[in-house]
Amino acid sequence: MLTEEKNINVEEQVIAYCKHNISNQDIKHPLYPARLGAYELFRVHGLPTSRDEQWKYTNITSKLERIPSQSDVKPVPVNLDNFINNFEIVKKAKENKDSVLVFMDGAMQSQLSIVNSDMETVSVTSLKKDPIPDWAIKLNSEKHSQNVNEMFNLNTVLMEDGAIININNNKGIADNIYIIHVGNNDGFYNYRHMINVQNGAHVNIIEFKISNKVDIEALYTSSIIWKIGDNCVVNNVKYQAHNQITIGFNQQYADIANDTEFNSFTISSGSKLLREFRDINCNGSNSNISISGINLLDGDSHIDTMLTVKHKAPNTISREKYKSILNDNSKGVFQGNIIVDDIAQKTIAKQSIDALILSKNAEHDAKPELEIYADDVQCGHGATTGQISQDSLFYLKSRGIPEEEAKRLLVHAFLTDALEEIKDKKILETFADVMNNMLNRVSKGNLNV
Amino acid sequence: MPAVKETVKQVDDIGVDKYKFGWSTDLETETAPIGLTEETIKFISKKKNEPEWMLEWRLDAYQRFLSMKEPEWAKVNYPSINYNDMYFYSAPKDVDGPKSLDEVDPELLKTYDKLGIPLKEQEILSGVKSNIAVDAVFDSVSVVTTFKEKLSEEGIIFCSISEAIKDHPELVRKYLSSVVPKSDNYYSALNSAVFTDGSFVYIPPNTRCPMELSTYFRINAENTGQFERTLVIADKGSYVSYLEGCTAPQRDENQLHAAVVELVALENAEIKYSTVQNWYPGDENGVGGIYNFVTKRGDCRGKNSKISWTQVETGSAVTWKYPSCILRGDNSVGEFYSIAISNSYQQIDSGTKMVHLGKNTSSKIISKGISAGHSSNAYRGLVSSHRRAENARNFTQCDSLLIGNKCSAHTVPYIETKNSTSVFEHEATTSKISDDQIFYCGQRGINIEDAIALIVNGFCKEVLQELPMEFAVEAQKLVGISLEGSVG
Repeated sequence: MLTEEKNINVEEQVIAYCKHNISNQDIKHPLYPARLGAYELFRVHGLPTSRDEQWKYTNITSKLERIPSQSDVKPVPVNLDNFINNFEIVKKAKENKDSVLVFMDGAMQSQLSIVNSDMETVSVTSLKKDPIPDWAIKLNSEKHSQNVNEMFNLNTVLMEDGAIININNNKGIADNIYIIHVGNNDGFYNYRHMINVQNGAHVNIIEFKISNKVDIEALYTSSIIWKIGDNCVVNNVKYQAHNQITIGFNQQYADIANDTEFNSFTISSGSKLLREFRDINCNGSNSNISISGINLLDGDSHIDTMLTVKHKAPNTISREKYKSILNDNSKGVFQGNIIVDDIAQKTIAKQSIDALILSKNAEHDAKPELEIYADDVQCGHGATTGQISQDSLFYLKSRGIPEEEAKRLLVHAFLTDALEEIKDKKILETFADVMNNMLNRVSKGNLNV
Repeated sequence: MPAVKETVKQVDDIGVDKYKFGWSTDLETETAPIGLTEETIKFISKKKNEPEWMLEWRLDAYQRFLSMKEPEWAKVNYPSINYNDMYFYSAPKDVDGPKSLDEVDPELLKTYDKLGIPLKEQEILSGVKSNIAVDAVFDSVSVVTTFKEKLSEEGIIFCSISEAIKDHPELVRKYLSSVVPKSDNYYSALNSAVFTDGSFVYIPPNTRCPMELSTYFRINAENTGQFERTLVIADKGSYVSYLEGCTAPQRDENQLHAAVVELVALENAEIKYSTVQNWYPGDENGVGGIYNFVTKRGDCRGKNSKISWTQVETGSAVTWKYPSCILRGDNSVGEFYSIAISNSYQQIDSGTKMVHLGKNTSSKIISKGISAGHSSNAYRGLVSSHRRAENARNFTQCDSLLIGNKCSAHTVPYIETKNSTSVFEHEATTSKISDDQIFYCGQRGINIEDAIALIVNGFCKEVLQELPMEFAVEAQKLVGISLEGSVG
């Protein structure tokens, strides 16, 4: 946990880090052109500042003082296997013979991972292994050529590992794939997953991101690029609970073709700073998507969600439902944007953002945008901010429910309709315990009611 | 073929009706030297016989303007404005300031008659029954203010801002730029440097202004920008309702209108500010029209004060306007009701800011956007509560209606909550007029254009009913006219 030269600001540190990294890359590698291009862009733009509209409420440099230094030797701790197996969810996954991919500090741990499914329907490789499938190289360069996102560029320059998953099942039964990230050492980690869901496939992808110890100082950037074909059903649930000193920048891109259902749900808590950037494109018609989530913030956490949903074809439906609970000195930011192109007639898009503030010093900023170029559409958004209703609390107390319990009930009720967006009930059940623990932590204590 | 003839006639009628204030008046005018320089500012100041402090104030604003950049965040596109290619002062000759009605050039009075503002008649009828006092601003100067005497009996000051600078410097110096600082934004700095006229209102304590006050702005001269400055002060326990109307002739060039409006409401005071903005919007191909870059802000400075903005935006090629409320006093109330209609190639980026600073403040925003043709219509709003603003309450409703598939509607709200006791609600919808509604009207023999006007009026009703009666009728008609030719 040593500081580098103190007087160099973090932006220069990051650029120097990129420069060092790019000079060590193999110039013949198929991803090299993308890396180099991204490096040139990042070098010019640098880290985004609050002058950038998309970063209006998040000041990176006030949270990120330096790149955490890392040791060259990264031993896999003996207990990591136990640590992972202690998770109820992982136990169940193994029993059900689902695929489990384990990453430690951004690097895939093959010895701990299992790809259990029939190799013909799910194939998994990693960014580190050659050769990288052609579709992945193509997908990567497509996203890169149209990109202006600084943190995505940074991720492109520095990405070291990640899962490359191709799903080609047509049996109508979903394959379950768990991706587990464990933060185990201090350092700066960068990884990218690419997921290709071929026509007619059903898949559930459940991601976990957890810190192994409370004092690990990790900084990471991650990207996940989805390419989803026609007639697919994709359920994605991400659960991230970092310690209070981790800083993370997540990028998610998804391109969705015709007649597909895509449900993505994120549960986030902890983190000194967590940026959730999501860019969802409905390129085909008749798709139905739901992008939702719950943010539970306490301590000095700062979670910034930037969600863009683009309707680029007729007859698509999207729902975005986000709920945040804010306690202590935390700050929640939500910037949502629904864009409906002129050809995307008959679009139905609904967005709702609700925040419940439980303490005096918490802050919530929301900017739900609509950008509509087609006339035959039904689009709407709602945003609310408030506290626990005194009337409801009184109602419960007058029926003999203790105050703490009453508050917990009300907070739980507030989150319930968002949780209903997790369409696969089995997944929802597996999250019940985790959710309860998180709720207990976030809703107790210094409620200002 | 009488049927065809009839159709042609109807189409013609629509064309004429579309913007009925498009004519101009031939008057001998006096203008400042072309371009924006210190000389121009000195010329304006001298022309208006301003005291030295005012000139210094203007020059300071000019220096700040030079160091500022044009804002680019709004969702509007227009070629950059060449400030050296336009006039900043233009006044009908021999009009140095408002005079009594008898001395006003009859040509001018005719102009206002034609605009539907019979200044003369009103004064004559004043004994009978009339309840609007008008300050008529023609290009850069105020030509006449009616009912001045009657108002002064109550202690109310209603005059042009140039007069106020001369006659009531203590009030002007105290309040001018106290709500919108000179360097608040690019256009407010420009306005502070070159503003030529505007209205000044002061309502003394515990006075309810007996009549509606109104300013009517008219741009007439070519190549000229209009920069007016309005300052309304409602002292403790007073009430005033203020109306603003604006029109301009139909020209192929774009003209700039950059105004600043400041409202100050002290303890228990209430200001109701209504605007029907009907600047020339350009023709159906987007040629010509006014660029309307306006800074309007009200400061609820005292406890229990209230400021209410109502606006009907139908004109201008480009609108950039955010009437805001600073809710500083405890228990103060801010309201914003808006209808923004855009047709052909008009671009509107308008909305409001509600800044909650005091305790128990509340605000309400109702915004209705209607876009037709190739236009773009954006609502941009901010609702924020500060750390100490306990029990702030806001309700926002933004509805957009799209007519045709070449136009666009945007909603960009910023909701910033720094206090846990704040309760903010925001909802927005975007939709089109349903075929069922049109069919229902059609069945009852209402043609499609009338049906649209009817449905749109219904859509806007919540805002229209906030307008004073005199304006409501005009606004309702305007809603219909603005949308003519949008279907077919």
